[in-house]
Amino acid sequence: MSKEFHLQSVLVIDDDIELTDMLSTYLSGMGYSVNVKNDGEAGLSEAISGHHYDLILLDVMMPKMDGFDVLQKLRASHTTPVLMLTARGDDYDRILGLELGADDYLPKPFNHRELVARIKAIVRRYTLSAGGGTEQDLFINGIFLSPSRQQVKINDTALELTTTEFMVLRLLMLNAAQRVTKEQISLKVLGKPLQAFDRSIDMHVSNLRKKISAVVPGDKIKTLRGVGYMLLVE
Amino acid sequence: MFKKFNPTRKIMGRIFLWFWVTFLVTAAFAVVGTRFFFEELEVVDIKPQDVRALSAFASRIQRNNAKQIPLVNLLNRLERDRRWRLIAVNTNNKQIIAPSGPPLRNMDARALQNLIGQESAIAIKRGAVKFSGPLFFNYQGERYGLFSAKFDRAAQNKPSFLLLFIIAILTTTILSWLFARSLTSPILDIQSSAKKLASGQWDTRVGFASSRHDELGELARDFNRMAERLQTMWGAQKRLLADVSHELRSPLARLQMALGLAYQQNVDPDTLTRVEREADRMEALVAQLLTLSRVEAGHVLLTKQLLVDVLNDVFTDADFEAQSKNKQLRIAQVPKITVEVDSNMLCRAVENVIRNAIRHSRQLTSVAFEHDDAHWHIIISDDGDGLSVEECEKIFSPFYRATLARERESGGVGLGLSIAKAAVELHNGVICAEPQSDKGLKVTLSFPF
Repeated sequence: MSKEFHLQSVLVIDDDIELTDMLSTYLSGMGYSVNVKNDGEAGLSEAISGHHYDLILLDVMMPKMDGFDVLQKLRASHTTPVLMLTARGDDYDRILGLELGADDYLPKPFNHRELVARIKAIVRRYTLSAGGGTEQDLFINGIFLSPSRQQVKINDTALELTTTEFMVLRLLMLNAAQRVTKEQISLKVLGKPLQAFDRSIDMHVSNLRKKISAVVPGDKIKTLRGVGYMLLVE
Repeated sequence: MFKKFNPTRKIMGRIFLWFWVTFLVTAAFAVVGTRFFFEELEVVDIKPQDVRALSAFASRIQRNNAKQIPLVNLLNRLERDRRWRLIAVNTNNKQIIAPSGPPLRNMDARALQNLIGQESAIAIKRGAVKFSGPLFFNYQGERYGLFSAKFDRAAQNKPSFLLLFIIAILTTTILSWLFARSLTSPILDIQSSAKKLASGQWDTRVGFASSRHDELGELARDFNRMAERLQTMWGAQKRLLADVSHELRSPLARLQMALGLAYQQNVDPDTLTRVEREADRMEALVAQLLTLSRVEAGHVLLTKQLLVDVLNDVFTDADFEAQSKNKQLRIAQVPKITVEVDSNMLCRAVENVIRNAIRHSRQLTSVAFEHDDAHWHIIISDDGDGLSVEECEKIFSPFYRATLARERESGGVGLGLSIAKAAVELHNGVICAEPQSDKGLKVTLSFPF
């Protein structure tokens, strides 16, 4: 990881102009460089423009192109971390967002401290996964994971994982054949203590499973009901 | 077992039976009636052996001409040989000489008197009796025509009678069935549509039955109009919920952000904390209100699943919450029963009640299960301060707070149990609370299978 100082950049895509104004001021005050787009289309083209973003804050309810569409199109080519702002407070929204590959979600209205905590957690995860140059490559049960190259391969087929999925897999592989509790995953990957009635860990693992089983049939990750997960060695 | 197949429990079966029985009775009356009242006289082929037999009798009678035996006695004697009746008719005065035995029916006698003019022998039949003749002979100066009468068994058991019966049964069955079906199939069509509509498939419409031109068609069209209206209203309701949700949350989101900015700009933190607390409370309230109205709007998706599969995650999470509060949650063995529920709604109900129990418990919250043939129950009890019987009735109404101060501390907005109640009622279930004998509150969620 480079030690020189650089501002972490955040792209905010939300149609509420008053809110984005304040968000922009607030996040700048917290030391982020912030870019704002007030509709889905502009947001998407900015996100895939080649400009590097450490994080995208993406609202769900927007005219023209909603957050899910943006996320889906973005994920076709980019693994930039995405924090969804689900306005409807609907379980369905959260689950769909996570299914489409969002790294986390934050129901609107959100507390400003919560927002910063989530942003920090995601960005830290990202830099950890991207910059872990000294960490060894892992090869377990046909899955090859390279932290330095941020790459996962099964049978020479590269897997397109989001940062969060990558980190979950890495944690499971580091503890292969051992039980990894949801609390551990939440703390080490999402950077927050596990909350009751929160399904996001399950969604990330479920996405990971789907991506793995698309390449090789059979389940490599075992669910330990009510406890957590375990990566099978064979 | 019989109940299940009892046709009178279905309109189709009843209409069918009524018409079928009516058909059959009518047909039976018609057949018996015609046989009884209009027994047709019909001419049939005379059998050569009958002619031979008759002529043999005639010649035997003539051989006895010289003796002074009355003709009746002679006929009687001859009759004993054979299983026939022999009847002689005087050609002049048409007097009938029949031996002893059952008297000849009047109409038969007339028929024979008419036949006496016949030159050669023929055979006639009335019902089961076949008359053959006449064969003429002279006896003691008079000229007679000789007839034989015998029961024509073969003819009475016409093979056609059984066939006729089967055909009658078949036709009446098919006709009645078709008729009953033509009446009930549109009803069934409307019924299945109503069932689907009730389960929340708002785009359900009655199909072919609505094109009928009778009252049932009218009913189907009215049903479709009703479904149309329901769909529109449901759509409007859903849109309103989404709009209210969005419109209420946007300013709240801005408020929270403004708070963040105010903190950043070092505005008096004590004041800000108060503003923030109220904003949080408002937010929780909006969220709960929306949940309540969503549950009360009652869109359920019932699926059959094992109870333990439905509740597993809720229990895991509740256990986690109890632990984080240094309290204990004891969950009994979940019975291996299959239930038909909307898992999301059921989880919400159980979750709200358990969280409420944990919040008010001193140390222990326990969950138990009971089930019999018709119902299953989830019983959630805590060891907290409990409530009076009057309070127990009120805790499910929105915004009711038994102990105001503590509820506010714990962050509840007073809607959790109302939501639980609505969710239970969506499953046609009942929720009730009662004080426990020793300590604490016991909430029972009961559902029909």
